Amino acid sequence: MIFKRKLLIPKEIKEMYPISGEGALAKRRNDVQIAEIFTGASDKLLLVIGPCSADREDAVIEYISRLRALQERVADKIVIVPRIYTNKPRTTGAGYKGMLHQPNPQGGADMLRGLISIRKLHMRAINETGFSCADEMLYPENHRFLDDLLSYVAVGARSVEDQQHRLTASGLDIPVGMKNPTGGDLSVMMNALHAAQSGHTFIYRNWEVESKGNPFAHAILRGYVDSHGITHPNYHYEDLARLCELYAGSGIRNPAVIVDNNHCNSGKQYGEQIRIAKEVLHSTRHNADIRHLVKGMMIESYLLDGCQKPEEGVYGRSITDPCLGWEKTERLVLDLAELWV
Amino acid sequence: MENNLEEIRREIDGVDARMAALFEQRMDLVRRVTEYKKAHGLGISDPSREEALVRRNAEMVADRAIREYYVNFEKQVIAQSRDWQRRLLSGMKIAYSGVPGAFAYIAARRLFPGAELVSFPDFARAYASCEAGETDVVVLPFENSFAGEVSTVTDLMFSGSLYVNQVVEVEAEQNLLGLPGADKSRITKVYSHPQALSQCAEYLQRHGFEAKEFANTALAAKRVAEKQDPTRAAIGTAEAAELYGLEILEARINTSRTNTTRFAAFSRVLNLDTENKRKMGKHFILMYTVKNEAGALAQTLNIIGTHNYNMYNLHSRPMKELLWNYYFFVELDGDIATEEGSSMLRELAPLCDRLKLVGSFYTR
Repeated sequence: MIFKRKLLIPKEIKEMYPISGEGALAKRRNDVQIAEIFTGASDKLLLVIGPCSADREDAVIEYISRLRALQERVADKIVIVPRIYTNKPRTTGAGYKGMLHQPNPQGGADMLRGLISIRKLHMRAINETGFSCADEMLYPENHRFLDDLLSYVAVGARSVEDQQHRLTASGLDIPVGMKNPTGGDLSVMMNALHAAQSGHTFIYRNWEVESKGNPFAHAILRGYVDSHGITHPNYHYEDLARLCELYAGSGIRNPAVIVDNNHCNSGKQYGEQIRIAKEVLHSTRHNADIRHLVKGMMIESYLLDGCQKPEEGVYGRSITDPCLGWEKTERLVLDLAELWV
Repeated sequence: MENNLEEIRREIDGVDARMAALFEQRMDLVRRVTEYKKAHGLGISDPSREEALVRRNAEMVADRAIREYYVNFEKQVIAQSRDWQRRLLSGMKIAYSGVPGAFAYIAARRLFPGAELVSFPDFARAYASCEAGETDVVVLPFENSFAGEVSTVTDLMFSGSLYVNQVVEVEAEQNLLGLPGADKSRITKVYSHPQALSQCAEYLQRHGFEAKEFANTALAAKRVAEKQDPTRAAIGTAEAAELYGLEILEARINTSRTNTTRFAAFSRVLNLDTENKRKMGKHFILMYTVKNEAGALAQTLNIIGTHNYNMYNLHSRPMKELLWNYYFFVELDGDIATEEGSSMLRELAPLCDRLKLVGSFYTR
């Protein structure tokens, strides 16, 4: 390993791109609204929605600005948390690793510019649209660069078994969604929730730190791949009922699930997300426990349908997993607002 | 036939009338350009731009036989507008340090022909006169290709309130100047500015001449003329020799063949125009201090690098008021008046105790 250069600390980058006073107020409002969904005080549907990867600032800001107008139309039923995913886990480590690594998707890695770019993008999002967004917590140490801007983080299927992810999740004051692992073993996810909801003492950014446990750590079902490499969904009625059972008597506070409509649940057939979303709502109408358990969904959506290779460079089209385009997204969100009772 | 000739003449009259109106309009636009330049302390006349203008306009004339007449016509128009600018600028006061004939004088004259040049005994007083509003612009040397930075001026850039909006290069040819008819072999002492002396150090050593420092080259020449001692000589320009009645005893005695001094025109407002001058690069100067800790300077350089600005020049200077503290002078290639530039400044700010954009200018 070659130690190339010392990077900046979170405080320094926060000073470069600070949250505005109005932005800080918006985050506080958003955090309360989201927490109320998890405690059950509010029965609105949480939608974590946005591109698979935030590849460029201009297109992401345009997308989020459109979400702002849409949020106003469905405010009585739905709380939107835009996803701005700035770091991507890669199955083999090859390919685009997100804005953190490659602030220019066609260029090489530049971690300094990457750290600054992701901060700038999340700052613009809240200062310009009032949305404090969601990101994947792929590198727990990096959370401090964004902690005053985010309202939601997810721990991915590949990270959910990792100790440092679980411990860091236990110290955050925002909801952390923990996905089932790629192999589908729900006990791994439930163990992660136990760990995240308990207090710990550990090392974080070279400090001895203490966490109190995160009462809003919750499950995300994203489908799985079996030992034969075959993709299986886990959003069906039976899967949700099974999760209710696992939660019952587990001692985990605020039982909740967010259904990830893409990934192995759709088999990356991005168009299927529409049907899956409606099917989940259908399941909630048949079982009161499921209705209480399901708090929301994750949808991968961007300005244009589908995906492209990073070098193609079309504005507003995903350069990682395929996403729903804007027209279909808008229709779907309006439909969900109609169907959610 | 006669009727027809009348008609053609009437048409020429009509064209003349339109040309007169257009000429007036053009001169009025030149006035506006001049006013802008005056306000921002910018000089007139950019020969490369004028040449390009004539060439480009000539292509609008379809008839090749007429085109050559048009080129002459256009050159005349440009010459007239330059005269006009000179007259408009005549109220302008330009501060410089030194006496007539010094390089600073040549640089100021070149940048602001027609303006009134006001001489000051040293850089600091010239600079202060512009800060106080007694003069509109101050022209000072800040870098020599041979001797490096002009430290006094660098310090003024850091501590003062003026901005650099234009830079001109004056190529120095250093000559040995003596009394008319003086014998070179009898010279013992040579007067000049320390930088001129250092540019000619090899020559002085070879001839065993003793060097004596003067505030500027022109003053040194003046002193030789006043002293009337044939064993004394000065190092200076041909202009200085002519001005003080000296003779060039030996021409081009400077060691480095291309010895160029960069002069900056300072004024009270920062000019960040986005005009695109062809064949001209843009540079800008940042000055800053960093926390006195390991890696602090490297962090600022990383930010500059991440925005792809090429560093043309970097040096540090001691801060007089704080013992063993230094500030940095960085000249960079590129345009600061861009999205990229403002992001860079924004990102540098938290890493610097003090950060100042000293100027932005075109360079060849």
